[in-house]
Amino acid sequence: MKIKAYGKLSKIGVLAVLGVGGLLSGAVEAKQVTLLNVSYDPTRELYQEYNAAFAKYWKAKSGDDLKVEQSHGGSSKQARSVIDGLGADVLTLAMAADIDAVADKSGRLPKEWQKRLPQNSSPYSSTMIFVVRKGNPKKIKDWDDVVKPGVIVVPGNPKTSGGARWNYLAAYGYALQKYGSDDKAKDFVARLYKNAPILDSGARGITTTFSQRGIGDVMINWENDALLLKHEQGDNVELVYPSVSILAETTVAVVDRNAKKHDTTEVAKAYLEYLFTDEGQEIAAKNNYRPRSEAVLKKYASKFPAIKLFTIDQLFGGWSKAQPTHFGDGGVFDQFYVASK
Amino acid sequence: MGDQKAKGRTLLLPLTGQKKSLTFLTAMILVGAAPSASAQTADPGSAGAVPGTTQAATAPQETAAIAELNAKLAEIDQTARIAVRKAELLEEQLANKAKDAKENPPASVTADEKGFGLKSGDGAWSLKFHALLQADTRWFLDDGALSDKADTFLIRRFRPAIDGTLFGVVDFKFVPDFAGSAAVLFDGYLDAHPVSWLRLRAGKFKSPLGLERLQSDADLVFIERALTQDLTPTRDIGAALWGDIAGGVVNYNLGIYNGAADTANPDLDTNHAKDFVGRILIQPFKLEGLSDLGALGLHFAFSTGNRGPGTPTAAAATATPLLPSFRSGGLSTFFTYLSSTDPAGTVFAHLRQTRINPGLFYYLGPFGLLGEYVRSSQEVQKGNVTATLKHQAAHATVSYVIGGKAGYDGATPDSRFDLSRGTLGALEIGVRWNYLKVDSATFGDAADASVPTFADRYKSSSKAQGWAGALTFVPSRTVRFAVNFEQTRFTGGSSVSTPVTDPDTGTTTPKVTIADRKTENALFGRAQVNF
Repeated sequence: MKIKAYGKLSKIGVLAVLGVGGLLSGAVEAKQVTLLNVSYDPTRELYQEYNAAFAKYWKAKSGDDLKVEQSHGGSSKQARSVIDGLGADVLTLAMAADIDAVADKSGRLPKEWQKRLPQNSSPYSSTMIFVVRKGNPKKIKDWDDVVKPGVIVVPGNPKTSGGARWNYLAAYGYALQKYGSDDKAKDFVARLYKNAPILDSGARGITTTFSQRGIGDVMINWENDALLLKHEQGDNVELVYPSVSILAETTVAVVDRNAKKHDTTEVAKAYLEYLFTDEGQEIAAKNNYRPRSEAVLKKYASKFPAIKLFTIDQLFGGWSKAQPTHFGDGGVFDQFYVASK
Repeated sequence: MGDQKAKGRTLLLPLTGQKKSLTFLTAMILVGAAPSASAQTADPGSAGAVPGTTQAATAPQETAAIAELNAKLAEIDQTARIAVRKAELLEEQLANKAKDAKENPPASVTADEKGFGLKSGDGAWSLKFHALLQADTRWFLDDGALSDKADTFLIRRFRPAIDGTLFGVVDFKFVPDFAGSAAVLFDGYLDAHPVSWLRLRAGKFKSPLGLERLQSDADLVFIERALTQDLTPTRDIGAALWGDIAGGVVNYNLGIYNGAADTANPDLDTNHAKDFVGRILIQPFKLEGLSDLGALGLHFAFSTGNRGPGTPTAAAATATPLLPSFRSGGLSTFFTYLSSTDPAGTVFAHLRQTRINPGLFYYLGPFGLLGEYVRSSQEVQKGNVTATLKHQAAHATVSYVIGGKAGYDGATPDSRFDLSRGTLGALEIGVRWNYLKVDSATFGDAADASVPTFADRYKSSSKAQGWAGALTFVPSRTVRFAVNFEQTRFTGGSSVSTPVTDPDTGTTTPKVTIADRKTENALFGRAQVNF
């Protein structure tokens, strides 16, 4: 009898354990996951929409509830924060150089990070264009017009802003191609920044200075920010596409050590990979970023005029060379800008 | 006109705070200038018209002047806007810097009553310098030949110390003492603490025996510890797992050590055996809502371990008997085991020693109570004879702090001594009772020479007990001035010789009988600096 009683008890016990285990495993499956995306200035709207779409996708795939926290600021400043300890799970910054800096100085992700995702880890791109006031009173058509005396230009600070760095390189590349020497290109960008009384620390600051504070005749900024401003301000502003500009390849990466520490490696990887899917590309295009997908780009062709674009690799030897040469301490920018102050 | 319209529109864009005023000034210039120019154009006969000219002749000139004026105003407007924006950006920069400083505080240099130090902004790295200096004086009242201590001034402790934190998870401490004739390492350990409830300490440090022993030397109510200190080791070398559970309600400590004899501070191990030492401290009033009841700590510690794998050679045991001498509150030795140049006459530790140590403390405002009991059971050997001796000691200390709070970590004045503010620090008054009783089996049987003897009853006391009073001026946590009086009475430990005449032979021979060692009345003084 005792044996039978124990047998029943043990069965009940097993069932109880299984039941509790099942409940616990159910609780484990439906866990809340938080991801920190450290991004640059103008991507607020893009990731607001993208995060919602991805969270829905991730919930369906894993059952987990995902909350993506965003941090925005000047791209290089954001990189500095991560180097100093900001616990980003993923970086979606304005340029590869900033993610390189995080890899080099913090060791939180491998130096070969750019090879881990398609398109050199650049799921969408943009370019740098002009925004002028209604009627284009200063008749800004191309880069040469921006450096004319008396024109006030708002280009941002290339020491802190990724967008401003692309602006600088776009102007430099134009001059290099047109005038044929680095000296002339340096003189060209020196004249451009002589016309810039204010250097904002990020792309959003450039837009604020130009549109809300009413400063300047021309703003040079991301095409996506320009399109957004045009959408908001209508006829009060006009977009001007220069004859040539730079292909601004923004890049993304998982910050391995942080993700491992937060136990978010899997979701962080999926988060970035999803950017390359049709839905991710569609959201990028809707938010004024040039998609990498030919099909999606074709769909939004009217939004993104075809202009002549050069790459940083073609004219500057890539970020690894351009960064120290132009934006490092004592680099070309410091030489003329600090000297002029 | 296109320009003018553009400027007019941009002026309506939102600005905040003081920037508005500067832009408003510019706007007034614009608004004020435009009607004036229009009036001149519309009314050539007005005060602004140039005499002797016709309307047809003046109109183009005035239009040009207005255009020039508008251009200048536009320039001024831009200059004003730029100035305002620069100020705005500067404010943003300062705000960001302040935010950064708050989120990522810079490394700091500290200098306060807890020492001098360096600390990284996130606190993960730190280095701190401390020092404890105790300049003492001891006066033995009515001392005689039985006192082995002279009236003296001395440096009791001089311990510069370095401690710090590495990687945010490893603490370290290094404390030498230079007060004696040679430098002695007292503490040298690292303490890894990945979580508060699990810490690993390894190196040389206090094993968790002796509730009063575990108090910092700088925080004691009395200048010297009670007699219970004779039954616990000063320091030991080993490793311990310890931690706080439930916010410190329970503190546990479990370690393995080389095994130090009572009162010892060894740097070397002389055998393969190890001691296991454990302690649990329960502080129930750390539970939420009970802190008003004070600080109650219930302590229980134990140790057990062998002093060797077996019977050592007599010669080796003689060299390192691993047995203590017992000292009074005045640090005069009142008990020693037998020792001889003949190994067979030397007592040495043999196999197991076990200690148990219950105790408690209670602090409520200015009132403090600390008491404990120690029982040390030690197997000893002399020649081929072994015995297990059980010594015991206890003390109870009551203290009261006038102008401050009592605590396990010492008296803390409500306000430090500062005559300019009219604050005087604190005065701590303490009373202590204590005793140490040596196992009677230690002394054999005076009437039966066959019973083994491990100590000389005529030289070593079988019991010491007494009381003490303390008066300590605590101007701040850093400085103390203390005066203590301590009386210790002894049982045995001395002898008297009485001449006895044999009635049969008429010869007189001295008869030695046991007597009590002379009562020790000691007056201590201390000036202490501790940071």
